[in-house]
Amino acid sequence: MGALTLTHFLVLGALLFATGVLAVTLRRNAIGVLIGIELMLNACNVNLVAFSRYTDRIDGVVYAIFVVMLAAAEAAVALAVVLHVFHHAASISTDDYTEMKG
Amino acid sequence: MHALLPLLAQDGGRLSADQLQHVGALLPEMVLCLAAVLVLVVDLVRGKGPSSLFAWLTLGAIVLTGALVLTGGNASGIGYGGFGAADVDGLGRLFKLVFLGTAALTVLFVGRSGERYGREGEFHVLVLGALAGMCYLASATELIGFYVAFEMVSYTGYLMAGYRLESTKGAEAAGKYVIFGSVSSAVMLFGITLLLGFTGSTQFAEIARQLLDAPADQPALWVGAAFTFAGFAFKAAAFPFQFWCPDVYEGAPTPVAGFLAVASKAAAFAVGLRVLSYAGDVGAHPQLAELFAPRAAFLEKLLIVASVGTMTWGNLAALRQTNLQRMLAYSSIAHAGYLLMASVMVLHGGVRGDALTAIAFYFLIYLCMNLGAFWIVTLMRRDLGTTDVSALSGLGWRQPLLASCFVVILISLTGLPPTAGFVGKFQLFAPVVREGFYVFAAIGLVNGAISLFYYAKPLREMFLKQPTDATRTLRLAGPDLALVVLLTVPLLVLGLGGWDVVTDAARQALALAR
Repeated sequence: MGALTLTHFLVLGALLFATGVLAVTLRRNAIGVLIGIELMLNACNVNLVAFSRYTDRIDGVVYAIFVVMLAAAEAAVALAVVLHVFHHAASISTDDYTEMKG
Repeated sequence: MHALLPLLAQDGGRLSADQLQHVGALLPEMVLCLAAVLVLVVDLVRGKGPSSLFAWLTLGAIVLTGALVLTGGNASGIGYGGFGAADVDGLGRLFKLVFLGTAALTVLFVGRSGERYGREGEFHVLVLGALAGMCYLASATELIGFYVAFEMVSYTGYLMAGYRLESTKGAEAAGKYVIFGSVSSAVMLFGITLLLGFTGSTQFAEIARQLLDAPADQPALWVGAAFTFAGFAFKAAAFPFQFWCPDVYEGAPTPVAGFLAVASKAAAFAVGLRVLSYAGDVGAHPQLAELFAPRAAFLEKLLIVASVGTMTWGNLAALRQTNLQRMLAYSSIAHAGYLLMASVMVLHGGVRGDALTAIAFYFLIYLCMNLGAFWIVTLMRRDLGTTDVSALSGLGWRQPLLASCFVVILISLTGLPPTAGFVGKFQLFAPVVREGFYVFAAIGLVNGAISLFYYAKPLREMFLKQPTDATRTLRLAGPDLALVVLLTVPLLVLGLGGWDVVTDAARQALALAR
């Protein structure tokens, strides 16, 4: 086992991102989709912090802090909206959101 | 180590005022943020119940901000200790005026739409928050500020789209918007992290330079650029990422759909044009031509495909719509395509000034005609209870002034003389033709012709059908009609000869010589 390099972290980030994308595309449950989005955002944070650590620059970490903050705001907004949809559709399955088409 | 750290360490970590550069130039954004907090607090203190207080507070803040934008000077490198985060320039200020005008009209529309927007204050907080984000977007020159402002506009948009509280369609619109929007911004963010990591900079100009001119042997850099581009195109509802747009605009409250169609789109263009200008600057150095030329040509092809796809898809899909609000959603996609067409020309140094002027002028007209159309649809929803085009049957004979104004607006949207829509479109097409993109311009013209078919639908209903007993009229109060006329008159004035004054003013604001 060699030392951990930047590439290891970038691969981790890419895998995490891919997991998020899979969750978003395959899950039919709105909450599951939101969790997938959070995974994608966390993949971004892994990238940012890794770049910061290996290139000795601070802006990646600063950026990551903003991403954490915005992810929290996004979760609040998204959950509120999903609750609102649930009141109308009585379902959190994205398959049921089909009032409008064409 | 990055420039920020040693500066933070000085003075025992305390900020000193002289290290802040030109922060006063961001006063408009600060006023909007403070106004949002003020409205929120007043709403909490006041309790429930309808009131026009919040609308007036919001309008006051918008007018004050508009005055600050008009009177404030330009500044570049706004930031802290050598770290420039934003520029206030002519282009950004023109866009800020478009955002503010749209928001002011939206607030007026909402007040007279006859619908309840939850607790009254809430909605206005969202408008002010979105505005603050948009105004900053028009100035941002680096990625961190850009991302925060971008998300500010997105989150407020998600919530505003869901404000038809009793409507299932409204809820569905918000649900789709929040899910598609969040996924696209996560994709964009992932792209941004790669760009940031491999270029070592958060500055747009530096990233554009490295992408276009450095010998980039990092495939990750290109993946990053592609992801960023895709996520951004999604938000701008550009082809092939436009599919969410009609559902969201149909389900959202009509004034909100107008706000999203004009202001959100303008915000996306404000950022896009800034980045394209930087990209064009890279090409201005002759010694860089070898690497730059093929990459710029590739970027240009990509944008042309996006533009052609956006306008054609928008226009063709609009043909079979009978719901006016949904039709206007497709129409706004098509218009984004026309605007993209001129945006491509920003990469060509020779016509950049003309293209930027044309885009600024077009957004001004687009504000009038699109919001005019959305306002009439708002009135339809309020008084007729439907936004279906057949509800207008015979209306032209009963309410001729309203119907005539609607006709002017529709002709302008199509881009026919003697309206401002014609002048605007002519100016958008001129640089494209001058640079020799004849096929591209021809596709644009054909699209204009296609759009005539669906814009003529309400015309036909209003004037070619005789009024019957079933014809219902709108209960127009003075202010309702005044708003319609207010938005129609500029279309005629600018179409019949006033365009020179406005384009010259825009040119001057952009600091471009004639």
